[in-house]
Amino acid sequence: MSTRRQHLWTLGLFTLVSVVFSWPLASNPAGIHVSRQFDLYSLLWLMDAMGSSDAGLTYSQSSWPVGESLNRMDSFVVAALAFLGQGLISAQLLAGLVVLLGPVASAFAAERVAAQHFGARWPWSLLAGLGYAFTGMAATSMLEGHVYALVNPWLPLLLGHLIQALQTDGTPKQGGLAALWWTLCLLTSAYTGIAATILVGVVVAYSRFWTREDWRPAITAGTTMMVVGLAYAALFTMSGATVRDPTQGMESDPLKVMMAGSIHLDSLAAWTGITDAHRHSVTGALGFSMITLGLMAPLVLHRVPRLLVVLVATGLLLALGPRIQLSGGGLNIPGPITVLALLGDKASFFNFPSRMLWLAHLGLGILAAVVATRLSERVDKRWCLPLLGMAAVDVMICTGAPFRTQAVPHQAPSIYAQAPADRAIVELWPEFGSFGTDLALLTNNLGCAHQSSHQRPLANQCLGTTVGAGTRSLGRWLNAAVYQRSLINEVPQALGEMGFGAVVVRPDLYTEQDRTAVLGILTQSLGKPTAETTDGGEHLVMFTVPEVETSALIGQQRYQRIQAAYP
Amino acid sequence: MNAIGRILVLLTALIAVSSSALAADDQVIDLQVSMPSRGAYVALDVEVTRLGSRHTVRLRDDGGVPNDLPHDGIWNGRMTGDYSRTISVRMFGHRSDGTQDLLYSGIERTEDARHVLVGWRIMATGDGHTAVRTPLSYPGNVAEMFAALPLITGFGWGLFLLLYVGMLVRLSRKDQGEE
Repeated sequence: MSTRRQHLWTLGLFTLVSVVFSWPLASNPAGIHVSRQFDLYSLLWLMDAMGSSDAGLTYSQSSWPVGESLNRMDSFVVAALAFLGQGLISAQLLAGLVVLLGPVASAFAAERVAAQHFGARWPWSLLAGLGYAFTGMAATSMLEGHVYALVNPWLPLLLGHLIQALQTDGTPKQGGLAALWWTLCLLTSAYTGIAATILVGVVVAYSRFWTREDWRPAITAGTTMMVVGLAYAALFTMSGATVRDPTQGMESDPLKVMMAGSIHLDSLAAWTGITDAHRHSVTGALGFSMITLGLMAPLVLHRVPRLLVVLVATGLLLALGPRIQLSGGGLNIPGPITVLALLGDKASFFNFPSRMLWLAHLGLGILAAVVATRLSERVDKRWCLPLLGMAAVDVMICTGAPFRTQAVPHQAPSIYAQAPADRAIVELWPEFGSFGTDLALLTNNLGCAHQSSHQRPLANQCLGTTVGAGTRSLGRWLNAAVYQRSLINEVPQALGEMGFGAVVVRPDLYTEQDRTAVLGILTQSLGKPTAETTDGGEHLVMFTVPEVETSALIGQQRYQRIQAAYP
Repeated sequence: MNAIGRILVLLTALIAVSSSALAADDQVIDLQVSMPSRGAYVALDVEVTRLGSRHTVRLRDDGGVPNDLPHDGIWNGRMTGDYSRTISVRMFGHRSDGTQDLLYSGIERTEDARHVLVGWRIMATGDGHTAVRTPLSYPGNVAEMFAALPLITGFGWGLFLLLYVGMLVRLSRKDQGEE
């Protein structure tokens, strides 16, 4: 078979796997998403924001009236795609295509690297693609909603070009390419950047490049990475810190937050019903065909590629978190990153160690491809071919991806379109307390995602892993008005000064008693509701705010006073 | 038409057929409660607020609800209607003396437009009973076992793979004269 034909087969097969993996997304990529958690909603908002005319590092249309810093956006790569596609492709369709085609690109890159740098032969090299792009972390990214992590051909490409660059005949061009792939990893997400940096460390340690005469490839790669890394760190620390609650906002112990974001040993085998109900859909399933072939490596290969073994071990050890847990409890063996707890809240940059498992997926996938290649050279191919089918079954059984997806319509409620077009919207929901941080974030992020349909400014802060401080303050102030009658008269004037034109309430989220009180007080304060809808899967009631004379300065001063009074 | 073309045509046909099948009208929400402690309650009601309207769903364990196995300790109820992303829920247990206990209240996410299963388990507390949310799947009355079913299946599959690859390795070493 010609090389071109092989590539076409590879892409076709990976596309088929991707369609099944994310089913039913392919049936309506612009109309539904398949995530179970809520990270996708803020990404949809980001894509829409980047596709708008005032796209930049500060977005004026959210966190109204002060605007929102985008310095800590989830993914600069996906933001760039949205920016390039403005006017051509909706945020919803772009997100669907990222889920459908991202893993295909990632798998193809892993397959090529396994073939070109580790000697895996087609079709066994397909195992590298399956093992990297369609196993536990891919399912986790898809179901949690941080789907930008699915577009990551950069990590395998970095592995391939860095190995080349650090060989005796390596060239500065290869060093530059390695730096480019590292940069794209960092811009895909901060966690992918950390994983890429660890990969660089492992490859450098194994290359013994310091024994070479020509240091230019290493210097080219190292210098570029340092410059880009410092620029990224500066951007990250420059602003945006207030977007997040401190870690202690959710848990008293930063270590516990990290443990919740780690892989548990049981999930390395397969998913369980508890995974989606209580563990944010985090699954580390490595794939039994990958594990088995990897374990057989010492028996099959004359020389086991130790670089891959170290990559797998490092990724696995880091992903298991500060305390290695069997299944959300038990064992509690201290892991190497326990030391990060000493940093306290500053360790929040590493709240999700599970993302380091991408390294193990990549290493194990390539190792499995190499072992299968050697086996096929010694045993009748007909006996080895089922391995490919088994790996495909692994993708379905161990990750459970096609059984765990949901068909969630993107359709936004029509009520927002009835709000005054030139003024902002503030959404009101109850205080969920510490039990309901997920529900609070879902409600907040859903409102952000709906902005693409109504295009009105919004009080919600849309970036971050907790509800933003500004959004929380406004909600607390409005909710306080229900039981502090002195605030009733202040509400219309204050909202008007801040430029809000409508209050949209989610009455079903309140208890029956508070629902009646909230709607009653808002009616008393702002007049009868001007709209009530139940389409788009939500029951919403809207109150229109009377227009008052104001300016940006007056609005921002009022906002700051409320923030100070209701932190 | 070459092989790639055939795959693409098949894929398109599969997507088209499945898409039309998926264009369901109403969202189905199944409510399921595991009540191992028989006799505590004679009836279970779930009060659901969905899109601003309140409904009471009487749960049954007599096989009268789709997917219900009669008298297995799993009480079922079903409601269908327009798509709702969340529902507010209160569950009441009715005692034989006519009194009722509030066993659970909360907001449940029901984002899948096709079918949603919301499950609880009733547990005895020091002075009464309470219901806790639990992942469930049909059919059965031991919730935790079925929640772990994919894991158990996974290990079985893993063992099969280990044996198969072990056999291949054995064959390869035989062909090489156990070098």
